[in-house]
Amino acid sequence: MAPKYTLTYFNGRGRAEIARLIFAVAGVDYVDKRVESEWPAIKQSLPWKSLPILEVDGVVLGQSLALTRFLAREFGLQGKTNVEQALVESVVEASADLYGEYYPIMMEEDEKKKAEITEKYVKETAPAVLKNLEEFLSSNNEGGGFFVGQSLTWADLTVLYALDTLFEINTKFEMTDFPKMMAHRKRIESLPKIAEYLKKRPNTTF
Amino acid sequence: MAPKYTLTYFNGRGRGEIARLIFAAAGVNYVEKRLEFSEWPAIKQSTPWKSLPILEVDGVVLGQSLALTRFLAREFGLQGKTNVEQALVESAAEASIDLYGDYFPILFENDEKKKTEMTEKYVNQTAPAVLKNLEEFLSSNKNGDGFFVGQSLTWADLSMLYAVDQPVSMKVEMSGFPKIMAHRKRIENLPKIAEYLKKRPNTPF
Repeated sequence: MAPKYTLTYFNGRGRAEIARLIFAVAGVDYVDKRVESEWPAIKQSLPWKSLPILEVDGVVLGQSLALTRFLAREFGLQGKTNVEQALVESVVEASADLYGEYYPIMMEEDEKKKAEITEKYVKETAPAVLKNLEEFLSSNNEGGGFFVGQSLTWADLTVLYALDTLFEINTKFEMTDFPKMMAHRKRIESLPKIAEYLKKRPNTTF
Repeated sequence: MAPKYTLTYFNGRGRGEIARLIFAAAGVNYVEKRLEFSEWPAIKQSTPWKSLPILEVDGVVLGQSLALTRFLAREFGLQGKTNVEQALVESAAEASIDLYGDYFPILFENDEKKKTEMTEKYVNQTAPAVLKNLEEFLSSNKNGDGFFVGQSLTWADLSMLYAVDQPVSMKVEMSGFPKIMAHRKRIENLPKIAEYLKKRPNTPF
């Protein structure tokens, strides 16, 4: 039987990666469409003229966070109560400040400007966000478990992705002030379904 | 009995407004705390994300405006009726963010030349492109004569009410978006919303 879901994005991690991590953790099969030269041809047919999109039950869902949240809910990774859902989403919103700078930095062609915005990110933005995330994590089971509640949610997956982009921007970023985050990262990376996914994931430039 | 919810933000619409619209549409009482900028430094460090708004409920402090806004939408049944509908509601709300996302950077830009450039880009490029998509999306549901998603009010309709304030106030040409403008009138005229808008304090943001 054909998979129920089709996720379409470019050939990269980017705005589709958290969705892919969710599918991996949930152990759910899906069609992972990666477009390249076909993009201009299909763009106008999309609800928000952007990728990723998720096709399910004849509906086309756009906007990466909306479709990602949809998948989290489909597979029970959104948080157990309404308050927990909100806590999960607050971690995701905060993490966006870590990965939000990725494209502006990576796509900046002016070398001088790129150095400036990278420095601001590395010296100010990232440490401030990480401090908040470290505090938040530490307030749940002393940071020895998951970000929210007693089981995996997409908040844990989002932070995994966000740190990936941080390390890509600055491979030598110093994490000594954020020990709980680093231990959490190791734990999540080592979950069997995640470890398997990360091993098989194609190497892409973004 | 004291209200169950306390919403704290600055004395303005900004990142607290969609939450306030949700409370109004749901007819739910809440404690509304508006801080002056001078009061902010003292409490900043005690907030989970060092930012406002925050929502206090059941002894929990929720931060991050969109997370607490969606929480309220779910509390009062304004999130969409199925998982797919929720996703459609959220996609419209996400898209509308591009209408007001530029607002604060432009508002707070001190360099006049840069401010003019940013305003021009918003008025001539960003806003029209986003509005075009939103007009199409709206039109695909009951010809655009009802709500953004489904057959009843969701927070997508309220997010749009807030978001469209920005292009309107910046004098973006709105004649190409008749369904959005008619939708705006319909939502503004819903009794609970009309009453809220009448009583809402006038603030610079």
